[in-house]
Amino acid sequence: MRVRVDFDLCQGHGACKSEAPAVFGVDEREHLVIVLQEEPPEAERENVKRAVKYCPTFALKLED
Amino acid sequence: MSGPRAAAPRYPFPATPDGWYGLCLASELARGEVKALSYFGRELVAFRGEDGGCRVFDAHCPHLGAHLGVGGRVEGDGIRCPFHGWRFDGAGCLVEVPRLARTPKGIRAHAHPVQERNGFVHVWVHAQGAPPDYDVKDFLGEPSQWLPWNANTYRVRVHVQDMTENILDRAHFLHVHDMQPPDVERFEVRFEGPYMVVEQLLKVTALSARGVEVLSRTTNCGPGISVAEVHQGDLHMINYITQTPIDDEMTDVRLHFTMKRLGDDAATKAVAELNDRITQQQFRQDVPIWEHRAYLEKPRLTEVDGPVAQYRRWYRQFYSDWQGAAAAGEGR
Repeated sequence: MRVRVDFDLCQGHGACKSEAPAVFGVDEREHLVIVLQEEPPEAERENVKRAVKYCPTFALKLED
Repeated sequence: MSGPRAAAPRYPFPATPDGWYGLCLASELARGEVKALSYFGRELVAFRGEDGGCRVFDAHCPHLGAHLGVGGRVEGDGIRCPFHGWRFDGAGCLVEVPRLARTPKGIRAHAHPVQERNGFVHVWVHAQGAPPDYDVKDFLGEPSQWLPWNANTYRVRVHVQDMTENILDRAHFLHVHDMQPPDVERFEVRFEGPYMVVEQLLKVTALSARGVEVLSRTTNCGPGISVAEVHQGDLHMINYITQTPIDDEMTDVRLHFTMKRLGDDAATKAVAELNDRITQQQFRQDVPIWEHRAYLEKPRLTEVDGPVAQYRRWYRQFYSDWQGAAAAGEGR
Protein backbone atom coordinates (compact mmCIF):
# COMPACT_ATOMS: atom_id res chain seq x y z
CA MET A 1 0.00 0.00 0.00
CA ARG A 2 1.39 3.36 -1.07
CA VAL A 3 0.06 6.88 -0.67
CA ARG A 4 0.32 9.37 -3.54
CA VAL A 5 -0.29 13.10 -3.25
CA ASP A 6 -0.96 15.54 -6.05
CA PHE A 7 0.69 18.59 -4.49
CA ASP A 8 -0.63 20.75 -7.28
CA LEU A 9 -4.17 20.15 -6.02
CA CYS A 10 -3.55 19.98 -2.25
CA GLN A 11 -4.67 23.08 -0.37
CA GLY A 12 -3.80 21.89 3.08
CA HIS A 13 -7.34 21.61 4.44
CA GLY A 14 -6.12 18.79 6.67
CA ALA A 15 -9.07 16.43 6.22
CA CYS A 16 -6.60 13.58 5.69
CA LYS A 17 -4.88 14.32 8.98
CA SER A 18 -8.20 14.05 10.80
CA GLU A 19 -8.90 10.66 9.20
CA ALA A 20 -5.43 9.14 9.41
CA PRO A 21 -3.24 11.12 11.83
CA ALA A 22 -0.54 8.46 11.80
CA VAL A 23 -0.10 8.83 8.04
CA PHE A 24 -0.74 12.51 7.31
CA GLY A 25 0.29 15.81 8.81
CA VAL A 26 -0.15 19.39 7.61
CA ASP A 27 2.51 21.99 6.97
CA GLU A 28 0.66 24.98 8.40
CA ARG A 29 2.97 27.52 6.84
CA GLU A 30 2.90 26.11 3.31
CA HIS A 31 -0.70 24.90 3.50
CA LEU A 32 0.32 21.50 2.22
CA VAL A 33 -0.02 17.93 3.38
CA ILE A 34 2.98 16.16 4.88
CA VAL A 35 3.06 12.43 4.28
CA LEU A 36 4.40 10.85 7.45
CA GLN A 37 4.33 7.31 6.09
CA GLU A 38 4.47 6.82 2.35
CA GLU A 39 3.95 3.10 2.75
CA PRO A 40 1.66 2.81 5.75
CA PRO A 41 1.03 -0.54 7.41
CA GLU A 42 -2.04 -2.61 6.50
CA ALA A 43 -3.72 -1.59 9.77
CA GLU A 44 -4.02 1.96 8.43
CA ARG A 45 -5.83 0.92 5.24
CA GLU A 46 -9.34 1.92 6.32
CA ASN A 47 -8.15 5.26 7.68
CA VAL A 48 -6.24 6.03 4.50
CA LYS A 49 -9.23 5.04 2.36
CA ARG A 50 -11.35 7.54 4.28
CA ALA A 51 -8.66 10.20 3.91
CA VAL A 52 -8.71 9.66 0.13
CA LYS A 53 -12.49 9.81 0.05
CA TYR A 54 -12.84 12.94 2.14
CA CYS A 55 -10.01 14.97 0.66
CA PRO A 56 -11.89 18.08 -0.54
CA THR A 57 -9.63 18.58 -3.55
CA PHE A 58 -9.28 14.89 -4.47
CA ALA A 59 -5.51 15.20 -4.14
CA LEU A 60 -4.85 11.77 -2.61
CA LYS A 61 -4.52 8.32 -4.12
CA LEU A 62 -4.04 4.91 -2.61
CA GLU A 63 -2.00 2.46 -4.66
CA ASP A 64 -1.47 -1.20 -3.89
CA MET B 1 -7.26 62.73 3.62
CA SER B 2 -7.54 59.55 1.67
CA GLY B 3 -9.61 59.18 -1.44
CA PRO B 4 -11.97 56.34 -2.11
CA ARG B 5 -10.18 53.02 -2.19
CA ALA B 6 -10.19 51.26 -5.54
CA ALA B 7 -12.22 48.08 -5.34
CA ALA B 8 -10.14 44.91 -5.51
CA PRO B 9 -10.63 43.08 -8.80
CA ARG B 10 -13.26 40.38 -8.53
CA TYR B 11 -11.09 37.69 -10.13
CA PRO B 12 -7.32 37.16 -10.01
CA PHE B 13 -7.19 36.05 -13.67
CA PRO B 14 -7.77 37.91 -16.97
CA ALA B 15 -11.34 38.53 -18.16
CA THR B 16 -10.78 36.80 -21.48
CA PRO B 17 -9.16 33.37 -21.38
CA ASP B 18 -7.50 32.22 -24.64
CA GLY B 19 -9.74 30.24 -26.97
CA TRP B 20 -12.67 30.04 -29.35
CA TYR B 21 -15.79 32.10 -28.65
CA GLY B 22 -19.19 32.20 -30.33
CA LEU B 23 -20.03 35.55 -31.93
CA CYS B 24 -23.36 34.89 -33.63
CA LEU B 25 -25.33 32.34 -35.59
CA ALA B 26 -23.93 31.84 -39.08
CA SER B 27 -27.41 32.71 -40.37
CA GLU B 28 -27.21 36.11 -38.66
CA LEU B 29 -24.43 37.14 -41.01
CA ALA B 30 -25.61 37.01 -44.61
CA ARG B 31 -23.31 37.43 -47.61
CA GLY B 32 -22.28 41.08 -47.79
CA GLU B 33 -23.56 41.86 -44.30
CA VAL B 34 -21.46 43.87 -41.82
CA LYS B 35 -21.86 43.89 -38.02
CA ALA B 36 -20.30 46.08 -35.35
CA LEU B 37 -19.58 44.05 -32.19
CA SER B 38 -18.13 44.74 -28.72
CA TYR B 39 -16.42 41.79 -27.06
CA PHE B 40 -13.24 41.07 -25.09
CA GLY B 41 -13.00 44.74 -24.11
CA ARG B 42 -12.48 45.73 -27.72
CA GLU B 43 -14.45 46.83 -30.76
CA LEU B 44 -14.80 44.36 -33.61
CA VAL B 45 -16.25 44.24 -37.09
CA ALA B 46 -17.63 40.96 -38.47
CA PHE B 47 -18.66 40.58 -42.09
CA ARG B 48 -19.28 37.92 -44.70
CA GLY B 49 -17.44 38.45 -47.95
CA GLU B 50 -18.92 37.93 -51.40
CA ASP B 51 -16.96 34.65 -51.43
CA GLY B 52 -19.12 33.42 -48.50
CA GLY B 53 -16.27 33.50 -45.97
CA CYS B 54 -16.75 35.16 -42.62
CA ARG B 55 -14.11 37.56 -41.23
CA VAL B 56 -13.60 39.30 -37.91
CA PHE B 57 -11.25 42.30 -37.67
CA ASP B 58 -10.45 44.81 -34.97
CA ALA B 59 -12.95 47.50 -35.79
CA HIS B 60 -10.90 50.64 -36.19
CA CYS B 61 -9.27 51.49 -39.49
CA PRO B 62 -5.48 51.89 -39.00
CA HIS B 63 -5.64 55.05 -41.13
CA LEU B 64 -7.64 57.49 -38.97
CA GLY B 65 -9.60 55.20 -36.71
CA ALA B 66 -13.03 55.00 -38.31
CA HIS B 67 -15.16 52.03 -37.25
CA LEU B 68 -15.27 49.62 -40.18
CA GLY B 69 -18.51 48.14 -38.84
CA VAL B 70 -20.37 51.45 -39.00
CA GLY B 71 -20.88 52.23 -42.65
CA GLY B 72 -18.15 49.94 -43.97
CA ARG B 73 -19.07 47.98 -47.12
CA VAL B 74 -18.12 44.48 -48.22
CA GLU B 75 -16.16 44.28 -51.45
CA GLY B 76 -14.94 40.94 -52.74
CA ASP B 77 -13.65 38.98 -49.75
CA GLY B 78 -12.81 42.21 -47.87
CA ILE B 79 -14.20 45.49 -46.65
CA ARG B 80 -13.98 49.18 -47.57
CA CYS B 81 -13.70 51.80 -44.82
CA PRO B 82 -16.55 54.36 -44.70
CA PHE B 83 -14.22 57.29 -43.91
CA HIS B 84 -11.68 57.57 -46.77
CA GLY B 85 -12.48 54.47 -48.76
CA TRP B 86 -9.43 52.43 -47.84
CA ARG B 87 -9.99 48.86 -48.88
CA PHE B 88 -8.76 45.79 -46.97
CA ASP B 89 -8.79 42.23 -48.30
CA GLY B 90 -10.11 39.15 -46.48
CA ALA B 91 -6.82 38.69 -44.62
CA GLY B 92 -6.93 42.32 -43.41
CA CYS B 93 -4.20 43.64 -45.76
CA LEU B 94 -4.63 47.13 -47.15
CA VAL B 95 -5.02 46.72 -50.92
CA GLU B 96 -6.33 50.07 -52.13
CA VAL B 97 -6.20 53.73 -51.18
CA PRO B 98 -8.39 55.84 -53.49
CA ARG B 99 -6.41 58.18 -55.77
CA LEU B 100 -3.10 56.79 -54.53
CA ALA B 101 -1.14 55.05 -57.28
CA ARG B 102 1.04 52.94 -55.02
CA THR B 103 -0.65 51.31 -52.02
CA PRO B 104 1.64 51.44 -48.99
CA LYS B 105 2.80 47.99 -47.96
CA GLY B 106 2.41 46.33 -44.61
CA ILE B 107 -0.67 48.21 -43.41
CA ARG B 108 -3.35 45.93 -42.09
CA ALA B 109 -6.48 45.63 -40.04
CA HIS B 110 -5.93 43.02 -37.35
CA ALA B 111 -7.78 39.88 -38.49
CA HIS B 112 -8.83 37.25 -35.93
CA PRO B 113 -9.05 33.55 -36.88
CA VAL B 114 -12.63 32.47 -37.57
CA GLN B 115 -14.16 29.01 -37.54
CA GLU B 116 -17.72 28.38 -38.70
CA ARG B 117 -19.07 25.17 -37.26
CA ASN B 118 -22.36 23.78 -35.99
CA GLY B 119 -24.11 26.81 -37.50
CA PHE B 120 -22.11 29.37 -35.50
CA VAL B 121 -19.41 31.90 -36.21
CA HIS B 122 -16.58 31.37 -33.73
CA VAL B 123 -13.66 33.72 -33.27
CA TRP B 124 -10.25 32.90 -31.79
CA VAL B 125 -8.77 35.20 -29.16
CA HIS B 126 -5.34 34.79 -27.61
CA ALA B 127 -3.56 37.18 -25.27
CA GLN B 128 -0.17 36.52 -26.90
CA GLY B 129 -1.56 36.45 -30.44
CA ALA B 130 -0.84 32.71 -30.83
CA PRO B 131 -2.76 30.85 -33.57
CA PRO B 132 -5.55 28.35 -32.74
CA ASP B 133 -4.31 25.10 -31.23
CA TYR B 134 -7.61 23.22 -31.06
CA ASP B 135 -10.92 23.01 -32.92
CA VAL B 136 -14.51 23.50 -31.97
CA LYS B 137 -15.95 19.98 -32.28
CA ASP B 138 -18.64 19.08 -34.79
CA PHE B 139 -21.81 18.15 -32.90
CA LEU B 140 -24.41 17.96 -35.66
CA GLY B 141 -23.06 15.74 -38.42
CA GLU B 142 -25.80 16.09 -41.04
CA PRO B 143 -27.37 19.55 -40.33
CA SER B 144 -30.62 18.96 -42.27
CA GLN B 145 -31.89 16.48 -39.64
CA TRP B 146 -31.99 19.15 -36.97
CA LEU B 147 -34.37 21.97 -36.16
CA PRO B 148 -33.00 25.48 -36.77
CA TRP B 149 -31.27 26.87 -33.67
CA ASN B 150 -33.53 28.59 -31.18
CA ALA B 151 -31.57 31.29 -29.32
CA ASN B 152 -32.00 33.16 -26.05
CA THR B 153 -29.52 35.83 -25.07
CA TYR B 154 -28.54 37.03 -21.60
CA ARG B 155 -26.00 39.47 -20.19
CA VAL B 156 -24.61 38.29 -16.89
CA ARG B 157 -22.12 39.85 -14.48
CA VAL B 158 -19.87 36.82 -14.17
CA HIS B 159 -16.55 35.50 -15.43
CA VAL B 160 -16.79 32.66 -17.95
CA GLN B 161 -14.68 30.41 -15.68
CA ASP B 162 -17.15 30.83 -12.81
CA MET B 163 -20.08 30.12 -15.09
CA THR B 164 -18.89 26.80 -16.45
CA GLU B 165 -17.72 25.63 -13.04
CA ASN B 166 -21.43 24.93 -12.46
CA ILE B 167 -21.34 22.06 -14.94
CA LEU B 168 -19.37 19.91 -12.52
CA ASP B 169 -20.72 21.47 -9.34
CA ARG B 170 -22.99 18.54 -8.73
CA ALA B 171 -24.20 19.70 -5.33
CA HIS B 172 -25.85 22.82 -6.77
CA PHE B 173 -28.15 20.88 -9.10
CA LEU B 174 -30.19 19.61 -6.20
CA HIS B 175 -30.26 22.87 -4.32
CA VAL B 176 -30.52 25.62 -6.94
CA HIS B 177 -32.43 23.67 -9.58
CA ASP B 178 -34.59 21.45 -7.35
CA MET B 179 -33.46 18.37 -9.20
CA GLN B 180 -33.83 14.93 -7.69
CA PRO B 181 -30.78 12.73 -7.24
CA PRO B 182 -30.82 9.82 -9.72
CA ASP B 183 -31.42 6.31 -8.36
CA VAL B 184 -28.03 5.21 -9.62
CA GLU B 185 -25.15 7.65 -9.24
CA ARG B 186 -23.25 8.36 -12.39
CA PHE B 187 -21.01 11.36 -12.60
CA GLU B 188 -17.84 11.31 -14.63
CA VAL B 189 -15.55 14.19 -15.50
CA ARG B 190 -12.81 13.82 -18.08
CA PHE B 191 -10.20 16.46 -18.84
CA GLU B 192 -8.89 15.95 -22.37
CA GLY B 193 -6.50 18.71 -23.41
CA PRO B 194 -8.62 21.80 -24.12
CA TYR B 195 -11.84 19.78 -23.77
CA MET B 196 -13.71 18.86 -20.62
CA VAL B 197 -16.41 16.21 -20.81
CA VAL B 198 -18.94 15.67 -18.02
CA GLU B 199 -21.28 12.69 -18.21
CA GLN B 200 -24.01 12.34 -15.67
CA LEU B 201 -27.37 10.81 -15.03
CA LEU B 202 -30.00 13.45 -14.35
CA LYS B 203 -33.50 12.90 -13.12
CA VAL B 204 -35.94 15.11 -14.98
CA THR B 205 -39.22 15.61 -13.16
CA ALA B 206 -40.85 17.98 -15.66
CA LEU B 207 -42.56 15.14 -17.53
CA SER B 208 -43.76 13.04 -14.62
CA ALA B 209 -43.57 13.33 -10.87
CA ARG B 210 -41.71 10.03 -10.66
CA GLY B 211 -39.03 11.47 -12.86
CA VAL B 212 -37.26 10.26 -15.97
CA GLU B 213 -33.54 9.53 -15.88
CA VAL B 214 -31.54 10.79 -18.79
CA LEU B 215 -27.84 10.59 -19.53
CA SER B 216 -26.44 13.99 -20.32
CA ARG B 217 -23.01 14.68 -21.76
CA THR B 218 -21.61 18.19 -21.63
CA THR B 219 -18.53 19.00 -23.68
CA ASN B 220 -16.62 22.20 -23.10
CA CYS B 221 -14.54 23.23 -26.10
CA GLY B 222 -12.19 25.58 -24.29
CA PRO B 223 -13.57 28.48 -22.25
CA GLY B 224 -16.22 29.79 -24.67
CA ILE B 225 -18.40 26.87 -25.72
CA SER B 226 -20.39 24.38 -23.62
CA VAL B 227 -22.48 21.81 -25.40
CA ALA B 228 -24.94 19.64 -23.50
CA GLU B 229 -26.26 16.61 -25.39
CA VAL B 230 -29.05 14.29 -24.40
CA HIS B 231 -29.36 11.20 -26.57
CA GLN B 232 -31.98 8.67 -25.60
CA GLY B 233 -33.69 6.48 -28.18
CA ASP B 234 -35.18 8.72 -30.87
CA LEU B 235 -34.62 11.76 -28.73
CA HIS B 236 -31.45 13.67 -29.56
CA MET B 237 -31.26 17.19 -28.15
CA ILE B 238 -28.47 19.73 -27.94
CA ASN B 239 -28.14 22.82 -25.81
CA TYR B 240 -25.26 24.81 -27.29
CA ILE B 241 -24.16 27.56 -24.95
CA THR B 242 -21.79 30.27 -26.07
CA GLN B 243 -20.35 32.47 -23.32
CA THR B 244 -18.38 35.42 -24.60
CA PRO B 245 -16.76 38.08 -22.38
CA ILE B 246 -17.89 41.60 -23.18
CA ASP B 247 -15.46 43.39 -20.84
CA ASP B 248 -13.95 42.96 -17.37
CA GLU B 249 -17.39 42.58 -15.81
CA MET B 250 -20.04 41.29 -18.17
CA THR B 251 -20.49 38.14 -20.20
CA ASP B 252 -22.79 37.63 -23.14
CA VAL B 253 -24.44 34.23 -22.74
CA ARG B 254 -26.49 32.64 -25.48
CA LEU B 255 -28.47 29.49 -24.98
CA HIS B 256 -29.18 27.71 -28.25
CA PHE B 257 -31.36 24.67 -28.59
CA THR B 258 -31.87 22.17 -31.35
CA MET B 259 -33.10 18.60 -31.65
CA LYS B 260 -33.38 16.00 -34.34
CA ARG B 261 -36.81 16.08 -35.92
CA LEU B 262 -39.07 13.33 -34.59
CA GLY B 263 -41.50 11.57 -36.96
CA ASP B 264 -44.32 13.64 -35.52
CA ASP B 265 -44.05 17.44 -35.92
CA ALA B 266 -46.39 18.18 -33.02
CA ALA B 267 -44.28 16.00 -30.69
CA THR B 268 -41.09 17.71 -31.90
CA LYS B 269 -42.61 21.10 -31.13
CA ALA B 270 -43.83 20.01 -27.70
CA VAL B 271 -40.41 18.64 -26.68
CA ALA B 272 -38.62 21.74 -28.01
CA GLU B 273 -40.91 24.06 -26.08
CA LEU B 274 -40.58 22.05 -22.90
CA ASN B 275 -36.80 22.09 -23.17
CA ASP B 276 -36.80 25.81 -23.81
CA ARG B 277 -38.87 26.41 -20.69
CA ILE B 278 -36.73 24.18 -18.46
CA THR B 279 -33.39 25.48 -19.75
CA GLN B 280 -34.32 29.11 -19.33
CA GLN B 281 -35.82 28.53 -15.90
CA GLN B 282 -32.66 26.73 -14.76
CA PHE B 283 -30.42 29.39 -16.23
CA ARG B 284 -32.30 32.16 -14.46
CA GLN B 285 -31.94 30.28 -11.19
CA ASP B 286 -28.16 30.40 -11.58
CA VAL B 287 -27.92 34.10 -12.46
CA PRO B 288 -28.27 35.73 -9.00
CA ILE B 289 -25.70 33.29 -7.57
CA TRP B 290 -23.22 34.01 -10.36
CA GLU B 291 -23.66 37.76 -10.20
CA HIS B 292 -22.94 37.99 -6.48
CA ARG B 293 -20.59 35.16 -5.61
CA ALA B 294 -16.98 35.83 -4.68
CA TYR B 295 -14.11 33.92 -6.22
CA LEU B 296 -12.39 32.02 -3.42
CA GLU B 297 -8.86 30.80 -4.06
CA LYS B 298 -9.28 28.12 -1.43
CA PRO B 299 -12.90 27.02 -1.45
CA ARG B 300 -13.90 24.83 1.49
CA LEU B 301 -14.91 21.81 -0.57
CA THR B 302 -16.34 18.50 0.58
CA GLU B 303 -16.65 15.08 -0.98
CA VAL B 304 -20.17 15.74 -2.31
CA ASP B 305 -18.84 18.59 -4.45
CA GLY B 306 -17.53 17.94 -7.92
CA PRO B 307 -13.82 18.10 -8.81
CA VAL B 308 -13.63 21.89 -8.56
CA ALA B 309 -9.88 22.02 -7.87
CA GLN B 310 -9.17 19.79 -10.89
CA TYR B 311 -11.42 22.01 -13.02
CA ARG B 312 -9.54 25.12 -11.99
CA ARG B 313 -6.23 23.43 -12.74
CA TRP B 314 -7.51 22.42 -16.19
CA TYR B 315 -8.62 26.01 -16.77
CA ARG B 316 -5.15 27.47 -16.17
CA GLN B 317 -4.09 26.40 -19.69
CA PHE B 318 -6.29 29.21 -21.08
CA TYR B 319 -4.39 31.99 -19.29
CA SER B 320 -1.20 32.61 -21.26
CA ASP B 321 -1.31 36.16 -19.90
CA TRP B 322 -1.57 35.39 -16.19
CA GLN B 323 1.50 35.04 -13.99
CA GLY B 324 -0.65 33.37 -11.36
CA ALA B 325 -1.35 30.42 -13.66
CA ALA B 326 2.33 29.63 -13.88
CA ALA B 327 2.97 30.29 -10.18
CA ALA B 328 0.09 28.05 -9.09
CA GLY B 329 1.42 25.15 -11.12
CA GLU B 330 5.08 25.18 -10.13
CA GLY B 331 7.21 24.27 -7.19
CA ARG B 332 4.65 22.13 -5.42
